[in-house]
Parts: sequence; C-alpha cells; structure tokens
Amino acid sequence: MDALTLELLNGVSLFAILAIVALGLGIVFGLMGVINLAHGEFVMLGAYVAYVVHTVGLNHWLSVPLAAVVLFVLGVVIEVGLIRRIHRQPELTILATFGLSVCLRQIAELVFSKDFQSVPNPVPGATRAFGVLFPTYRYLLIAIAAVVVAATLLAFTRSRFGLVVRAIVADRDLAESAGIRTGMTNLCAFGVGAATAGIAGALVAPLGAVEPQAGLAYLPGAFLVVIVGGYNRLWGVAAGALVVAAVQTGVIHFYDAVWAQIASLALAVLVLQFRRPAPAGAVA
Amino acid sequence: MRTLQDSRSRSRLWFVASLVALLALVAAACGDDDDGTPDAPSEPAAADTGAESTDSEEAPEPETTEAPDPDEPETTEAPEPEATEAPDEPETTEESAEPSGEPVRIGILFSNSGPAGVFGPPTANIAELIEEDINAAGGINGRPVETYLADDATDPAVGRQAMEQLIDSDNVDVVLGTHSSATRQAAKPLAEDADVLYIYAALYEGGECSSVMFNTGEVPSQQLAPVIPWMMEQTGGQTWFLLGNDYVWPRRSFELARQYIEAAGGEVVGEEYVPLGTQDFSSVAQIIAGSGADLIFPALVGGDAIAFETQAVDFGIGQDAIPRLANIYEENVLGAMGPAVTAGMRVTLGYFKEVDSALNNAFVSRYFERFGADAPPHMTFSSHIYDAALLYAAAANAAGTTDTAAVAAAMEGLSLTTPTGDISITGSRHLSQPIYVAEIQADGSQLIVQSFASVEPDETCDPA
Repeated sequence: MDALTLELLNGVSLFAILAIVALGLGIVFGLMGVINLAHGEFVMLGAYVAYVVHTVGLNHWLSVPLAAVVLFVLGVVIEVGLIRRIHRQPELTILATFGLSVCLRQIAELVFSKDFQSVPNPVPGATRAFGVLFPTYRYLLIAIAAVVVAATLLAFTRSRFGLVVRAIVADRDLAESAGIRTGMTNLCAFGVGAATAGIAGALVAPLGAVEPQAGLAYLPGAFLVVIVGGYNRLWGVAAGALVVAAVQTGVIHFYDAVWAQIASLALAVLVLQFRRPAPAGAVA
Repeated sequence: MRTLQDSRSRSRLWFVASLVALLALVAAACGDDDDGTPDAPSEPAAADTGAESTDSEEAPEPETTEAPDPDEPETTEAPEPEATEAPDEPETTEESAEPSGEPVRIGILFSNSGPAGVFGPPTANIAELIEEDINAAGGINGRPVETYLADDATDPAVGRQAMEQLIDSDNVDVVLGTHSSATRQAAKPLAEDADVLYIYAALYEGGECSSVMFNTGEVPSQQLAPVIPWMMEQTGGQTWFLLGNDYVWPRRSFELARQYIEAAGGEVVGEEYVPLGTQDFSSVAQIIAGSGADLIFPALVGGDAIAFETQAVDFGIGQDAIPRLANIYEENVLGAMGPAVTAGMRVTLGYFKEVDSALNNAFVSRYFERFGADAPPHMTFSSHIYDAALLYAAAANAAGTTDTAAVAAAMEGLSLTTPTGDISITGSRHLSQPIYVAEIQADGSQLIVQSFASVEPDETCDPA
C-alpha cells in the first residue's frame, strides 16, 4: 500500500514537472504554430536564473518569479527580432529556433562556463504524509506547477485575452480583418510561453545539474507531452503530461527505465497514427 | 496589390537579414570553439603553425627566436624535473640538445563540446604541457613536437571528421584520443587505413584490439577487481545495487562487478539502467530503497549522476544511508553535487590530482601556476593523455623513427614513471597502472585512502 502511494506521488511529481516544462511549448506551438526548438534552452536559462539567485545569496523561491520576468523579456525580444518575421512558415521557425538554441547554449557557456553547477535544495528532507515519506521539495514543486499551469490555462480560456487568442487560432486572417491585433497577441503568447519555461527551469534546478546542455534533455519530453496531448487545445498539455507521466511511472515500476522511455515514444507514434496531424492552430 | 507585394518582399528581406545576423551570431558564438577545434586548438600550437611557414627549420617555439616573450622563456631555460624524468629511457645525452627540424605532429582527439565537453578544457591545457615537456627533454629523435587538437563534439560523426582532419590535413604521426567509445569506433577505421598510430587514453569498457591501437585508459577489471573486495571489507556491506546509464560501458562494468562481488561473497540485489539524459529518479530511488542493498555502485555520467545523487538524498537513500562506490564521478560532477551530498563517497580511478608523489605534486602545482588557481582541474582523462604522449615519445625515441609499426613494436613492454605512477604497456596493448580510491571529505576535497600499484588489465589482444 505504501509502495503504491509512493509510486502515485512519484507519478504526480513527474506529471507536474512534465506539465510545467511543456506548457510554454504548447502555448507557442498551439497558438502560433511556431515549433520552438529553443524551448529547452529557455528552461536551461530559467535554471541559470535560479543559480544566479543562489550565488548572490537570495532565497531560492525568489528565482521563480524572477525567472518568469527574465524569460518573458527575452521571449519578447526574440519574438520581435526573429519569430515575428517568419512565424507563418513553420519550417523556417524550426530552422531559426534551432539556430537560436545553439546560440543560447553557447552564450550560456561563455557566461557561465561548461562546468556543471547546482542549486541546493531550499527545503531538504522529506515530509510524512499519506503514511509515507516523500521529498518536501517535490510537494512544493507540485503545488507551484499546479498553480502556474492552472492560471495559464484559465487565462487562455476564460479571459478576454483568451477569447482573442482562440479567435486567432480559429482563423488568423478573419481575426485580423475583424480588427484583432494579432501581432500583439503573438508577442504576449511567445513571452508567456518563455516565461513559463523560465519558471519550469527555476523549479527543476534543485533536482539536477545546471549546465548549458541541460535544455537538450528537456526538449524531447516536452514535445512528447505536446504530441500526446494534442496541440490545438491548451489543456492538451495537461492531459498529455498526465498520460506520459502515468506510462513512464507505470513501466518503470513494473519493468525498467529504458522500457519506460521506449513506451512513451511508442505512445507518441500511436497517438499520431490515430490523430491526423492537423495543422497547428495558427498556421495561415 | 502592389503594397501587399512590397510588404511581402520587405518582410522577406527582413527574414534574410535576420538569418544572416543569426548565422553571424552562431559563427561568433561557435568561434570560440572553432579556433580551439580542428586546426590548432592549443594556443602555442596555433602560434607555432602560424609562424611555421616562415621558419620551420628553426626551434619548436618560434617565439623564442623572435623576441623575449614573458610567457615562454621557462620552456627553453629550465626544464622542470618531471620533464627530464619522463622520457628517461632513450638517449639521455640528447636531452640538453634543442630539438630541430620537421616537427613530430601529435594529434589529440577529444571532446570539447557537447555532453562530454566539460572534460575538454583540462586536456587542452595538458596539450601545452605535452609540447613543452617533450621538447624540453629533447623532442622525439631530435625533432620538436607539435600538438594538434580536434573536437569530436561528443558525436561519433563529428569525431570521424575530426580524425580525418588530423590525419589528412594536419598530417599527424600519432593520435591520442580521449572521447567516447562510439567516436573511437567511428574514427578507428581511418587510423587503420592511413596506418597512423592511435592511442586511446580514456577509461572505457575494454575489448579493443587493433594493429594501430593502444588503449591506456582504465578498464573495468582494473577499477573493480581490487576495489570491490576492499569496499566490502571497509564498509561491511554485502549486498549491492548497480545503477547505470544504458550503454556499453556501464553494462560491461556491471557484468564484471557482478563476478567480483560474488567472488567476494557478496550479492547483487538489483541492477537497473536508465537512459542517458534521465532527469527524474523518483521511481528508481524507490526501487533502490526497496532492494535492501548495503552498497550502491552508480555508473552514471554527467548530469544524470548529479540528478540521481541530489534527488537520492531526499528519498532517504543518500551516501549516509547507503555508501557509494563510483567509477566515473569526477571533480566537476562531485563539485556540482556539493559536499553535503558527496561526503563519504568513494571513487575508483587511475588518477587523482591528489596522488601524493614528488613527481605528481610538482606537476600539479605547475599546472595550477600555469593555468591559474581556478583552472579546470587536471584529472584522470587529461592525465592519461599526458601519459600517452610520454609513452609515444619514449617509444618513438627507442625506435629511432616515427614509423607506425616500429613505434608500435617499441611500445610493447614499455615502462615509465609519470605523475600517475608506474605504468607499463601490457602484451594486450593496454596499460598496467596504479588504481587509486579517493574518499570525498566533508569539505568536498578528495583524499586518497587506498592505492593499488601496477594493476593488470584483464584483457587479451593479439592483432595479426
């Protein structure tokens, strides 16, 4: 029973990590049709924000909003400087964001060096709940991720901004001719996407290594979630993360981690078989 | 219509402009690596090749003939003790003579970018010392040596190209390699076709055998055979959990570890592999906690190791609860984990900069004086490259030529004393070498708590 509870908690924490990491990718892909291969680097930069916050001696939790702000600004700059010019041509966005990812990795290497860095866990140890000991930090991570993901989803579905976004997703040209400023909306969407990636990076930083290459490891997982969850509904990110986390945790529990990876990739292939890869929302 | 077209062509223009800007940025960003890549990465080598066309018949360091360079004089004036000591086998009379003539070109194939790029900088530093020390000791057959570095970007395809560059463009006489086995497999055929000697100096899973190759890195039999029984005796632990990344080196290490554990009366209670790049170890941690293991042997690399160890503490299976014996955790990785996580861990490797010998202490202090106190620390990979260069120089001097077959014949049975310790090439074309066990201290430093001299590799090789 305890083993099952622990495995459930493991699954929930993996779900939270996957959802928060994939959220930004889902927003940018789903709303703008931009395949952002630099998303992993946004997460990496978020982790470096946490590292800097740690080295100057500030509280780790400060890095979460700070990473959001830093990455939002960076996202806006990149949208204006790069994405805006090409966002209607998905294949160009792949090339451009790939180049961008190389640049960001190199810049991180120049600024912080190739060395592995780490951010100490602000709340080391475990908490006893549901009859089992589970790392305290993961409880907090689950809570913060849940709040951020839920708030973002609500903003995109319940607010006037969300209405405008959905109008653009449904038909960009029609929305434009109806007087909606799609440029501004794209700017916000890309900025918010980058900001959530920053939050994800700051949240996962104490769980592993902070290094320039770290983003590469997060990208495949994020794409997996977006593919499984579907890219033209934002809540698909949450659904995808849930399915992937369940499959991963289940297969590791009953088999092993290598098969878990194979299983989640096979899942993506299966899902794509059953769902025609409809053009992502904003492709004109 | 016109305006629409205008704006479209303008936006195309913008795109082209931004693409150009982007490429320029990439080029600029990668530039740092590139001038450190194929052609002439180590700075002195770059200087040498630049000046080479004008005065190749002169001394190995063109700068010394031009002007008194504040950085350089020590290289020609005062040979460091270990430099004269190192290739001590051949003509000791020639040591004082300044090498001259066509340089002997030593290629170094290493990972300076990509996931293993973190191991690159110390090797690049060591390349400078290799040139300096071999030249100070009289060079190879009276000729100066030059080093040429090539980066495999931790990618076998790039590694193959880098090997091609070294052989075809740089015309190297020998390639020293410290990179993954995947790159070795991709690059080896080129060395075989060109009949260029290839000394693979990285620790690896063993089993390599080729007429142009020597393998001087630690193999699992060396790292584990003496250390596993020692570890069980030290800790009183009997049951082991083996956790590794899913590729050939951890799998081969565990295959052997299982034999040594069972021979020592212990038992393997769990063996798990995780894909490279794994970030979440929660489920694995639970499996380990449930296994009841007394000891953990983690064969995890880079970020995976850091993620596992930092998460393990919160799951109650840190070093305090279950002692570790690691065979790859090096300073970079240990430093990132932090002493709170690592204190007490034991690591088995063929070299630590803490090796306490007069030769090594002098070498290490010279390394940090030369490259700065915060230089990327000299470690087993860079040390084995240094040793490989000294072995090559000694063999080529003994053979009196750089002909591959003749040098290879001179390599077999060759013995040297280097900062690493006493090393000698075995009949299996591997290296009999010391193995050290370091224990991580509360302040994060490494203390060598056990050493085994002249550990023989359990390898067989008889290239036709």
